[in-house]
Amino acid sequence: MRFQVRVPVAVAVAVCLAQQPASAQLPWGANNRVEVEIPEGVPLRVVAADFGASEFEPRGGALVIELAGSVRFRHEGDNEVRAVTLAVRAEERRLGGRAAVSVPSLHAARGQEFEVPVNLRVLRPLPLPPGPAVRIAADAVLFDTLASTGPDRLNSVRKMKAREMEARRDRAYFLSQWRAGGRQRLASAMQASLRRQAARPRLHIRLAGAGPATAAPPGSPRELQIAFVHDPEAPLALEQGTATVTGTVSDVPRIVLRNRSAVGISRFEIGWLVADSAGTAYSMGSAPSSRPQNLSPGERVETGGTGRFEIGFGPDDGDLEIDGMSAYVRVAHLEDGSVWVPSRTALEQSQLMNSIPVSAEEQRLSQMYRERGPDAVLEELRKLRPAGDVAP
Amino acid sequence: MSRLRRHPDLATVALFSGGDLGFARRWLVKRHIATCQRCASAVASFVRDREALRAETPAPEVDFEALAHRIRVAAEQRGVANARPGLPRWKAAAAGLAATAAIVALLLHGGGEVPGPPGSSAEETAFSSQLPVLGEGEDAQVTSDGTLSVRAFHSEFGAMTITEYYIP
Repeated sequence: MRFQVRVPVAVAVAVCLAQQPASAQLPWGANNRVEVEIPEGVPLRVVAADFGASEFEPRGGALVIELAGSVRFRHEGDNEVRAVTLAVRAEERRLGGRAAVSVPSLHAARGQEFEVPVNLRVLRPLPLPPGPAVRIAADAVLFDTLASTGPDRLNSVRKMKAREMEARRDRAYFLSQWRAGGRQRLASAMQASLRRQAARPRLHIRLAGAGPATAAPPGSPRELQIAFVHDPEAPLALEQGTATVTGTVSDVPRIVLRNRSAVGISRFEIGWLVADSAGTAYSMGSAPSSRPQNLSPGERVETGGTGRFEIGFGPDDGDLEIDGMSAYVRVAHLEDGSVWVPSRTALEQSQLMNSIPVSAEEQRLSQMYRERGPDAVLEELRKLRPAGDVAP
Repeated sequence: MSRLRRHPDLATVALFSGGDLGFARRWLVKRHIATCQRCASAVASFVRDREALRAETPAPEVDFEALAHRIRVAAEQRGVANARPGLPRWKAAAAGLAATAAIVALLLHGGGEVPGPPGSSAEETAFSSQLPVLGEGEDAQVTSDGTLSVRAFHSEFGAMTITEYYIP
């Protein structure tokens, strides 16, 4: 029988830290502390942090930390902040000990404040050494000019840039809907987005460890050929791909691709979908790649990595198996500084729009529409429209 | 962590106090406040405030346009959910029940059947297999770094967060 003891957590703490230059620590009990750090060169100041609703629960030899709260920042730089990523560290080298939280589509000018909600579960082994139980630090900040700052240890900048390009694409689309048909047309586009989000088939994906399995998953390994969704505008051509699948566990796919553009490509992301034996396509996200990605024009490379993922199709689909895989070019960071993402037209024509999640920005705007109506969305589109664009 | 032992958020407590929660959530919150003095006090406080407001202020005017908007959106979504091919209503209900049972089993027993990396303890692997934490209607997506990411919309800030869970 296992006894579980809850560590008493202090009640909500809101600390005004405006006078502290770089680092702030919440005055909790000996080890139940969250520290918020701003690295040098990041033009943010911590105004307040409240993690009073967090829970710390020892279980066996580990402490399960349910972090629940937010950090309020004041922007002290010149360019408008568009996105922020915070690194959350409980224990660097253990599974479940590290996380990151990003907030896209911010519009914080100099002197303005914004809040980053942090709600996640991390884990660290017991006993705790002296010092904070969780450290939160700004990893990178992206500005409206697409310039960035911060240590960027988690490759946050390229992820934030890709999200911002998707956001610009989708904001432009919704603005065009408003211009074409006003409030009614914008509302229809939002309704269509909500319908697509509700109908998108979902998987239950879990990390199955990066190294060799300590217990083999049931079933014998088989090689699956990967089909490609071609986009003639993509700077990369996908040529060949396979993945090893054992039961419901898939290794990271290996995909051969070629830079067919005239510019070097520094990083790219390949979208990854799996199909069940009933033919339904599900988005897995991006195919992980731990290999170097600098591609000269015409150069060919094979992606790959050592991760393994357990895929669940849902409790009512127990007899379904991974029956097929497909891939598409999702993001390409070109060496001239530009970032390529697929157009909405390409996503619609390829039917990918029905299988992959909408962009974070489309999800945000559609949720805003659901809760506050089309006028709130229009106000948001106005705030974030590109410089020089005529206000709707 | 058991859902019964986690404090409900303030909005849930407020809805519970007004009798506006569905059966399952009402049952969960009721079980929780039976053993949690802090949340029981919060419920009592909401009830007192509601009674005081009722006594002192006239009934507010209903914003019928906002209400109609919410109903239209909800009806639209429900229409889609019911129209999903190959999923009869009874099957969807059974699936929901099975999913709930699976989640309860996972929460109670740790769900540690997924093998972990060499060197990780069984306890850590068991709890880590509960990552990422998913809310209702959320799913996780793999990133190009091999992490799992989960999105959440925060109404109070009008902001999305993208949380990534790393493996070492």
